[in-house]
Amino acid sequence: MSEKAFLQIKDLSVQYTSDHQTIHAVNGTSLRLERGETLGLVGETGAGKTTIAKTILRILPDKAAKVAGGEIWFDGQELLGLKEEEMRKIRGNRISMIFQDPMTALNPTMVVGYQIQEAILLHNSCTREEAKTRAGDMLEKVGIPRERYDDYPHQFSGGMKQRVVIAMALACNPELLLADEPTTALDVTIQAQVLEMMSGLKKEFQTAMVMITHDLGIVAEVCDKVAVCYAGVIVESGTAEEIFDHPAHPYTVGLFGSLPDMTGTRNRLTPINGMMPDPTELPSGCYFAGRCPHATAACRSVRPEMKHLGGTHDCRCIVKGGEQ
Amino acid sequence: MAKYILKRILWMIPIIIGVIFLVFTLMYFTPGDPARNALGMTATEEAIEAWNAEHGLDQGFWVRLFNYYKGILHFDFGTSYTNGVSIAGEILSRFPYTILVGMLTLVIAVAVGIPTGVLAATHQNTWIDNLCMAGTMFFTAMPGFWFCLVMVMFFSLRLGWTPVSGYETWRHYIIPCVAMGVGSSAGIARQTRSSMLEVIRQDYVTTARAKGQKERNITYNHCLRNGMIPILTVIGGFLAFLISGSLVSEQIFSIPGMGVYMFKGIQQKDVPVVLGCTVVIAIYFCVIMLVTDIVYTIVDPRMKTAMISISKKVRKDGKK
Amino acid sequence: MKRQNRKKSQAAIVMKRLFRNKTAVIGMAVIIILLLIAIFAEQLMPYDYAFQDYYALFQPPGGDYLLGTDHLGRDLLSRLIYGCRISLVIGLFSVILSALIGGALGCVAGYYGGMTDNLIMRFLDVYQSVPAFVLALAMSSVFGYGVPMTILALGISGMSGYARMMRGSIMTIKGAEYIEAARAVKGNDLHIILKHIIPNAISPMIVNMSMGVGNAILMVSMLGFVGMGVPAPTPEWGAMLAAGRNYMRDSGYLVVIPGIAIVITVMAFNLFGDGLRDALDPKLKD
Repeated sequence: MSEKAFLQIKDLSVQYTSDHQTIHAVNGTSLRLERGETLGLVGETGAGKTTIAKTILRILPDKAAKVAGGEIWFDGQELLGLKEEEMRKIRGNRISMIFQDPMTALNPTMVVGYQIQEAILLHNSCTREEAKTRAGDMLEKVGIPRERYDDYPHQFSGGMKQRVVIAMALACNPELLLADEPTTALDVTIQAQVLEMMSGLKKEFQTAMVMITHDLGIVAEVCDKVAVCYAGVIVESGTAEEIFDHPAHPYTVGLFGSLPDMTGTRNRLTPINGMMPDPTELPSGCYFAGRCPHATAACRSVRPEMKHLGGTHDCRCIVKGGEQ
Repeated sequence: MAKYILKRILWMIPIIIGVIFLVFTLMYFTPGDPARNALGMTATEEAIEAWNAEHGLDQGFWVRLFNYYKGILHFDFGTSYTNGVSIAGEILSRFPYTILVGMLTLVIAVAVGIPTGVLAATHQNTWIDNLCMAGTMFFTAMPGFWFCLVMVMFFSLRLGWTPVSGYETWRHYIIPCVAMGVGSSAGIARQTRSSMLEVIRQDYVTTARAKGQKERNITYNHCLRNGMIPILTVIGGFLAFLISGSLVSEQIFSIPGMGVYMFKGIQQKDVPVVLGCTVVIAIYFCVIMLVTDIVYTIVDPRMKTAMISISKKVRKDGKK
Repeated sequence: MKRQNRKKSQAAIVMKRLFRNKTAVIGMAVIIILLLIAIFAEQLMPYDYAFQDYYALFQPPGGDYLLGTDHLGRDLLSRLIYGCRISLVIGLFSVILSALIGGALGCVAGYYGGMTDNLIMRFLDVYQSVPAFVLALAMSSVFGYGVPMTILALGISGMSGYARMMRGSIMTIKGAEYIEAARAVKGNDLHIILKHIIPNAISPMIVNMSMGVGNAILMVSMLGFVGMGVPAPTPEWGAMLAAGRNYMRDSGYLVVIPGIAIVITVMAFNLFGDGLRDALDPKLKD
């Protein structure tokens, strides 16, 4: 565990301040990812997944958000300490991001081709013509004819827009791709297409990927490793097999419980009761204690440490951690 | 696009016909006896009748209105009551000055207003923002002509840098245009700030940042372009004010434009002069609004689709 | 009864928000002071505004005459105080007139829709093609001089914005269920407009009016400056500026002081209007 991984996040904490309230969005998250791997970052809405991704790229809103602590190591460089100018050279070039909502992620007053070309021009020393050709190539790679280079975003459907966003993110052949719920805003049929295309491109470009999602189906399909995020903390992590076959943390178990089971052995969904703790006032013990069916008095007072369960499987729970 | 612009130009024709009708009708009710005013108290009944006939005043409203339309088609606005000079000729020689002052003022207003608004928005809630906003508060509350006078007092009378009045050299235009332009920039700056603040929070701005784009390019390429759309919609309102202001500044600096002519016409109860000036200014205003509209469609590619859906929606609402 | 209560508490919330806004409170305070000055102008004027002291022409500020005297030896302070009344009266009443005419027109257009709406909107298109100041000029040349005539000219020329705004609000309210309900129980049109629609469309109108007063005062001063509006001996701020302009080389205060009076007044109304808008609809605030 000592040598640096390709991407390693250590004890990252991020807070938002608004109207004299402090929202603890990320509270000591640690993650590891090697080259070419895909990590599924799973959790419900508001668990701080998007904030983690935006912190890696350092594109959080300046005034409101503050990184309270932690380190982000990317290929031997500590990102949080980099100068803005150096960070700018990494953004869109070595690390890029696919956003959740393709409807709003594209600039409505610019032709899509230009928006792809922009990234290429920024990070490569090439002429406008070359950049334009490469942008056209990218469009074709994501299945959009080159002729549509000069069309505006409003002339595309949702799925097509997301393809453009993906083309934009992959334009500079990044080493790390952060995909923030790339298919949530799309129709189910199109979701499958987009995912398939992404996996294909990922293989082609040898890109490492952090796939942020709340859809365990997607995780099962594309991810090598999984990290489950709850209230800004990673509660369980491991390979996809480890998590899917032996979920340890009660929250992970709960997540599987709220999935429809196709085998039909269980015919009723069991939702996780209650809501995530108020991020302005986090409880002193385990954050999940309030909703946990196995919670003890200790859970409410002591914050659990990450426990090693064997393999790469880690879990942050006092009660369920050891017994397997 | 070309079709839309053509449609917009054609739509101007009924508007102008309407404007002429509106202003003509209004001026028709001007009280007083213009013939008596022009010829003096000693004039005979015959002379007055002859004068009325000469100016077409012996006819009814509709005939006079019709004749007025006919005249305008040949660019004939009649003759002045007071000195019998052709109004069209007078307007033709004065209008270039009004356009010059108006356009220079507009350019300065936009050149000052938009960067100020952008600066305030990108530094929201800092002292820069507060300073910009306090400045615009002051300038919106200030009569432009007063700012002209104060600037004349300082730069022309005290420092002697610019001439007090006149129109011969470019130096004569500095104060009228700068004073009026800076005064009118306040409204544009406020609008720019609020629409920029709206745009800055949009997802595509984050996208641009995630691409590694430079902050400066993000502000001017990505944000301002989108922010321009609401700015342009309100610029029309400022234009009306700006044109009115430039008429007054002509008066202050004795620039021989439409303003001076119109004010004199009003004082002398010279109805055809006032009528002619109002009509020409209205047409001028319509043309500027048309240009704003065309710029609008260029800036926002969604405009066409939006226009169609809005007109559909209005029609639907109307039917309800 | 319940409805009444809710209304009242809503008004209380708006007032609370308004009073928390410092600039709006300052604006409001200045407006109240100006109103008091306008009401008690006679009592406050140190001299008659038309009194001419031929032994004290162009007295600079600070002597017997606090703000100095003009080219006819008239006390500038007294003229400013009386001018305040003129400006406020014309400003307030012309805006009320604009709102009444425009509001009525907008109501009719929005409520009846169809042909009526189309006709009124096309009329407004034409109307707005003439800049308001130019229209006001043309109107005051028809109506003549004096306070009531100026109110009329400014009131009529400024109505189009209110008409559009009222129409817009009514279009959105009209579809609401309670209007449909009122229609279903066969309330007559006038009753529905007065009882249901106007109260719900009024708040944007009020905001617009409070901003409009400042604008109207600017217009009055512009008219006065070019020699229209209120006739000579009456001290109107714009006209005072126009007269002072001839002597600004040596007596700059004749130009500076009335201008400051205009700026303060207009700014007070604008600040108040901004505050009111934010208080009524916090969403609009940036």
